[in-house]
Amino acid sequence: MKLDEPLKQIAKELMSIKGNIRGEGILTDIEYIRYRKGEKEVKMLEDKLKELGQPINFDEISPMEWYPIGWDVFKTLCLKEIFNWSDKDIFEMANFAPKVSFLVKMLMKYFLSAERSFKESPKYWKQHFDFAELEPYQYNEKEKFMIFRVKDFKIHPIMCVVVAGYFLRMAQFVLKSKKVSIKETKCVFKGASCDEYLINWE
Amino acid sequence: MENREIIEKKLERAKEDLGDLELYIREFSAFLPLAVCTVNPLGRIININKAAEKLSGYSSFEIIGDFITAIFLEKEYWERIEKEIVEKISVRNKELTLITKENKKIPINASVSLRKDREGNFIGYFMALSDITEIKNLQHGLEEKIQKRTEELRDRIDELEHFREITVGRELRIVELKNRIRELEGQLAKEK
Repeated sequence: MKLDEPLKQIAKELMSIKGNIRGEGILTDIEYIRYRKGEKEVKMLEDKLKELGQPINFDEISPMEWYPIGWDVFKTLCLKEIFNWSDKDIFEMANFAPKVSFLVKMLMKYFLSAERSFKESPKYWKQHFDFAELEPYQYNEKEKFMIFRVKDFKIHPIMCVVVAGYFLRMAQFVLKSKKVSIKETKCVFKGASCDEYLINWE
Repeated sequence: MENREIIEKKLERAKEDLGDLELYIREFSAFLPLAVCTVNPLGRIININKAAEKLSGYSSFEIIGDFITAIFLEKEYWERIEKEIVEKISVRNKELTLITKENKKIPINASVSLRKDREGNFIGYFMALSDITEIKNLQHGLEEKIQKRTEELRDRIDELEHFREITVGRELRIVELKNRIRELEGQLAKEK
């Protein structure tokens, strides 16, 4: 199992990272696999995680409980390998997550308008992660763009794709426009001090 | 230390309660035979229940995030209803046409109720949709029957009118002939 060796090694590094994510962050992705692939594939993922020494029983995950961020990242990397998914697939999965998120439905009070959502976004971040920080950096209604900065979130490059997909959906929820796009303009894995995401709409 | 333990226990309890609440809402929503949608202040669908999935043909995964106007035929009318909701808090029995995933048009009756947060901010609305196809079909059938019956009655009236015209015309002719006979009889009497 040559391919598994790097993953096993990555697992060790990921599990040593401090920081937690709400169970829901993991469960929404599982819901996506169930939707796009099927129940059998969810089991495949569980088996793979077990085989790699990181067993996670998805049925036992509670949406509001905190779980190591390493679990979430490792699960995403395993998904890529099992289903031969590209970053685009991972982006789509993350873009799907808010659609099935109970937290999103519950925290709708933060999403009254695009500007208010922008301002309230740090609170929303804290509902999902117990570490790192989201800074609503710039909002320009006239030029139709907003910039978010994520600080102290140097976990794994795949998380840049995940965050971008998730942020895009949140923006799609609060903007009237049908054409919304996102671009990572700064990346900690490319030497920047933080991750930066530019959201544009028409 | 003791304080921390108490807080942790309370937090644990709150999480369990929240989990139970989520489960309750999910189960209740799935059980409801009435189609229900939750819409945010921008008009985007943020949740639909099983009955709404069945009615629209869309799975919640497909439709969540889309504008509610996308599933209605009467876009401008819907915009007027939206304004009415903000003013009146709730509106009932608005007839609209739902466009399903298969592009089928279903007449529905919509009742909408405004949602507010604790501070009184408008956070969207709940919308209940009921399929009124059967009522509409019944109504349509009744209208057809009434129209048919009206046409039948109109035909009868026309026939009677025609009959009246004929009989009245004949009577007038008889009177005319009788007068002529009387006239001729008079003339004949004079000649004698």
